[in-house]
Amino acid sequence: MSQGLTKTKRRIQSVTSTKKITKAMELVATVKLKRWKDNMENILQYLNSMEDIISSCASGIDNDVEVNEFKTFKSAKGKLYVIVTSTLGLCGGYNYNLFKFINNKLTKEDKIFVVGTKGFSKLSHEDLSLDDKYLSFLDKFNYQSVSLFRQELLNLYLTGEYKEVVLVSTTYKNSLTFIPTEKRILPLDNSLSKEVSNVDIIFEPSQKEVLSLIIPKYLDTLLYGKLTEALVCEQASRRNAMDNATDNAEELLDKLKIEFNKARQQAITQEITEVVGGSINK
Amino acid sequence: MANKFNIKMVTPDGKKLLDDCEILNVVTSTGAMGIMAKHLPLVAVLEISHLEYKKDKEVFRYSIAGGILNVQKDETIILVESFEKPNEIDLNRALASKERAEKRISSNDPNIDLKRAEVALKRAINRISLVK
Repeated sequence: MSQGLTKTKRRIQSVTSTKKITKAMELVATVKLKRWKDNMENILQYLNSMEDIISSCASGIDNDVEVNEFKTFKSAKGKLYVIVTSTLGLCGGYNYNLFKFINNKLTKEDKIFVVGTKGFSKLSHEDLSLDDKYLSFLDKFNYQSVSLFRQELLNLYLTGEYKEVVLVSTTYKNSLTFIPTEKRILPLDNSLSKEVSNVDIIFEPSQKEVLSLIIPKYLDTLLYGKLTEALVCEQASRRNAMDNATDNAEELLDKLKIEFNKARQQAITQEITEVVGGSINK
Repeated sequence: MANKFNIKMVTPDGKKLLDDCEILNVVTSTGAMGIMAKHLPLVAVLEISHLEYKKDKEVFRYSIAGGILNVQKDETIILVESFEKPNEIDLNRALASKERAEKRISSNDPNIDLKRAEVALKRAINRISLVK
């Protein structure tokens, strides 16, 4: 009987320490989530103002302007993918949902930049051309490094080997819903220029020049915003997962404690019975 | 007294400045420019330069690291990569980054992105000149 007792006791100890860990991770994720969420809101505001400017610039410009970012390469076969996953685990369905989303989308002709080691270890089993240069990009990134990343993407795109540059990341809907999406970064959409009438807007130096200067900045902002959003999703997802884990641990602990007390009680009762039985027999 | 208009300056990091002013002086890629209330809608590219605006006879100066100016009917939006007031500038840091950029440019190393170093130098000089 006492063997069952120690066994339950050990389990209680191990569940308690697991609970401590999940609780701590939840707190860390909550703090990080808050920080990144603030960041995301800022960048989205910036992005919106930028989109306003771009749409007023791009309207009225003929389709044949030679802005690199609008160029299309129709003969190219593959696409250039940027896939954003997490480096750390224990974040619920965050990575899994993304994998499910990209499943069967990738082909051998595509070149894939993977961000986050989870994505790399998953995709490296398949016959794809992966690039691990940006694997730990999200650990430490800022506007400048995103800008360099964008330049590399643009240069690769302009070689003409890829028909599109696509970013696969998770978008944040609310703190419980995250949706894996793909967003075409290059070539830029002509639909950017819809609906706005640019009557009487003065451009300094010229509309075309303004546009060609704004677009790289716009792409930087877009990329930065999307990466930040992915990070927010990762942290939110981790927080939810750890919150659930802590709850489950608590539930389990309650059950184990009852089990332990029952066993203890039983052992005591048995001992008393034995003592009493022994004294009667004397 | 001149009419006032609203300006809003934002960076990607979320640093924000909301104010109103009588005149806004900026340096665009074609030269310096002053903007007053009821200006026609305008989009301009800003250089790495100083931006200043006047409000109730007081002049506020900022160093900005390049951006876009968008004058709209009711609001003027300035999108910049960063901006600082004179008292926010860390002079020692700016001097150090100037030195670093100069070293990079003069090193003739083919691995160095010359354009980037030049932009960094420009930014550092711009910051230093606002303080001094």
